[in-house]
Amino acid sequence: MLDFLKFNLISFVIVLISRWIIVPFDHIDISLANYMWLPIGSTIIVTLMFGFSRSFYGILTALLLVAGINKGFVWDPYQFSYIGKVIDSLGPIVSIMMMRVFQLSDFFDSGKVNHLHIVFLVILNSIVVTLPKVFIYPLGGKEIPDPVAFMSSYISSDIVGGLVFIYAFVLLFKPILIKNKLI
Amino acid sequence: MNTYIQSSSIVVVATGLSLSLQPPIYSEQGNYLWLPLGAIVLSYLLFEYKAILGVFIGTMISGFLFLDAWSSVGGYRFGLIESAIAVISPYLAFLSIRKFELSPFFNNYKINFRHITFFVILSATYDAMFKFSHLLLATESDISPSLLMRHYFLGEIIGGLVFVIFLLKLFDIFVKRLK
Repeated sequence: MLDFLKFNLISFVIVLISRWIIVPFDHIDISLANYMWLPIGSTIIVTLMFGFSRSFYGILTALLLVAGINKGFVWDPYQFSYIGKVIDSLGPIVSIMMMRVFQLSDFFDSGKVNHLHIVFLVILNSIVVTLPKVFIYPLGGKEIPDPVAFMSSYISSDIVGGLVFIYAFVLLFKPILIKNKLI
Repeated sequence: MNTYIQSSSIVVVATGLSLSLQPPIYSEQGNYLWLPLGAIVLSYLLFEYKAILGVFIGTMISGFLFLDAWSSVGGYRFGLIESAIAVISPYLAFLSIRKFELSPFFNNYKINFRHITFFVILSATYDAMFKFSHLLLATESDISPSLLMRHYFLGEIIGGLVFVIFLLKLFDIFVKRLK
């Protein structure tokens, strides 16, 4: 129980920081994504490090909290945006599960992180979280004026943000990762 | 030369079979058993990059023979881009899996069905995304994006898996009998 709380709290802090950094770059137009969506990298990292249940609640709370603050905790026109945050939190779990179920990768080769598989996970995750949004966002009555621009902007921002965050994370925590023989 | 003929003919046969099983009612409607994706996936598994030209020829021939729908949607230019998407998407999926060292698809000369299933799903995802974008950009269709995506995505996954698994199992039985 203590581990559960501790790891969820760490996940919460990491995801909150990664989301908070990019708030100034948010767009009002939902067709355009934030061009460096760092939270995708942080959600992948914490899910891989701590496991599904020990990170999911922390991720979800952090993303919902920032979304709530940005939207003044108003529910009505933004309910589908909040559902988008649930999708963002579930995305890494679904992608990791997919890669494990199809026996493509466990992300570690003899205890060391396989970075090629992590890069693919970022790409897969970006697709997994973007496709449902194309169908869910318009349900609230908000039209997506250009679904093609929406998809390309969201997928590219997720990939760029994910890779940048993971690269920065590895650079920052290199000594710890080397000490644990992970890289 | 043989590679081109084999890969193009397998695509033409699969398209004909698909359309005879479920003819499209209107152009933007996908087919819930889109076998050609399986044929293209199989071509790449067997011949790798050498199949690209054959697959492209196959999709073009299929378009002329069976997909009269092209003329109602956007003509030959539309069909040419659709064919290119049909060729590129599975190859992109194939390259993604190979370049990221996820799978060689065969373990000790045995087919890994799980990896091939993932290959089909990834190909269908890329294909559905590109075709969806192309349809929205090239035509002024007012079809619901979710309906269109569902048709393409589901149809390609089901058709692709049915075709690949059926043919590979058949091939497996055939090889065992020969032994």
